[in-house]
Amino acid sequence: MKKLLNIVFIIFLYLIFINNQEAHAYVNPGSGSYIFQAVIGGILAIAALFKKLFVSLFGLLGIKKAPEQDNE
Amino acid sequence: MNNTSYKDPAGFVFNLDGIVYRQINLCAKNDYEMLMNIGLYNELAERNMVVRHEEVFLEKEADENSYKFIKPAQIEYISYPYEWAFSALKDAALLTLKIQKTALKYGMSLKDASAYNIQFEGTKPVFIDTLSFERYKENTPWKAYGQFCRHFLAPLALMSYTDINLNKLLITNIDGIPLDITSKLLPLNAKFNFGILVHIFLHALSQKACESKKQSFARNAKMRLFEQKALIESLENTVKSLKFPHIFTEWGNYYENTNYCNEAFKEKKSIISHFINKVEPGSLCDLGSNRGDFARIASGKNIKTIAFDIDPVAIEDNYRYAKKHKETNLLPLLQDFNNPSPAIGFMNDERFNFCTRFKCDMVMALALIHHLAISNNLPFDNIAKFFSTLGKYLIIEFVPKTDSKVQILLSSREDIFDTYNAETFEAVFGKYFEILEKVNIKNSERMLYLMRKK
Repeated sequence: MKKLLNIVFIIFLYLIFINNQEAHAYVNPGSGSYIFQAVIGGILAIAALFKKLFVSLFGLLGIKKAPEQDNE
Repeated sequence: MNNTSYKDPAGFVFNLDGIVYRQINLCAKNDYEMLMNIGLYNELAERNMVVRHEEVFLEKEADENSYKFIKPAQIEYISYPYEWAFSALKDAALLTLKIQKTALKYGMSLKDASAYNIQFEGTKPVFIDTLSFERYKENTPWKAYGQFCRHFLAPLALMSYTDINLNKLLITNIDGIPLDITSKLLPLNAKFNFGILVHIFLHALSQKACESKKQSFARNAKMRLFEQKALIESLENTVKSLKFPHIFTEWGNYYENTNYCNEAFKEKKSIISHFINKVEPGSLCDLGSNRGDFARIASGKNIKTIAFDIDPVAIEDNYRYAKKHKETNLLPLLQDFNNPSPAIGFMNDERFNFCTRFKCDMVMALALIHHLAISNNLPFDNIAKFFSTLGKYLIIEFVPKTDSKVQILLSSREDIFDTYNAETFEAVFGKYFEILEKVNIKNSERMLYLMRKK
């Protein structure tokens, strides 16, 4: 299920961004990043929400993630 | 004026009688006052995340643009991201994101995310650009997102997935590694890292796609605060997911392959300790430090020590060890002395070269001379001159031709080094230095010298 969602998400993003390949030297190089994060922000927020829900759910079931190590 | 700070209309850094100050211009008054009064600066300073500063009155320096002057805590050695260990770059990236998260909590935001805004005090990263903070404008994307990806995520991903030495691309790309180049250099398996896929590959595609869109399209882009927080969390997770690659390098297990016995190794340490005690330097640069065993003799004596090495594995090990043991006086940095960090940027004057930045009281070059003289064909005279520009005192180890390590170097090439011997070494170094002490390391043919610049 997670894999399928990833694939759908990737296809969606490719469709958004791959449609124009012309070069324009007078465009601020930061514009792309600006628009891009506005597009992905909502998707990442939903993903983060789901992650939190899963973590809480696993927490309720007594399954906890191993603590993170600082350097591998 | 500091050579890079003319780019920021909010203010600039300048040097007065050897002290670094920052001028805050009138146009940055509101943002600076907000940073100071809202509690953000206090929180960041208390958590040692930003450099502390005090406001000072410099009447002679004031002009029609100036609002205030601040004197930040002085940072002795300026280092650059292409000189940092992999984990150091990672720590710098995470600090930048942590600061942005904290800033958002107070209604402010970072307007840039340059890796050059981070400096290291030992292994502790600290944010140095007090004028990077601005009031957060509701529903706007993070201005510095693209820069963060170019300065941090791209080099980290390339180091992790492609080659550990690719942080050097930051030398040729002063504003970070372009994402389209990064995408081309990353292997296919990097696309299976969700964060890299989004923040590098798709981000690069989006930049191409947006090249033809009108600027107003970008200006009208909206992003709610919770979306920006999710973006930052995603960047944080991506940075954390990047691991130092498992690689083998020539120097990675150097200490297991030396031709010293334990006794000679201990004796070498004790001679070095004696030399350091005799001089009592305030700072020391160890050139060719490997994992820093000898550099730690100095840092353990409360001497500010920089441990340089060409090997990324040795530097990574050294950095992790220093961090784990909370060593505050030691900073491991990557450096190739056959081709030290150049001056880069506009007029070659934005980021300084190695020789300008690293002046110290004492230079230590242990088991380095044969690499410079034999592997790189550098005459003794040039090597001595180079060392004499870096520090007043020199601890140097001479490795004779009969040493097995030199024999390895000579095994694959013609021996054209007739003058490589202790007598010539002493005569040539004697032009630049006075030899104060000379000690043979027991059970070896190697000699340790303590010299003072003439």
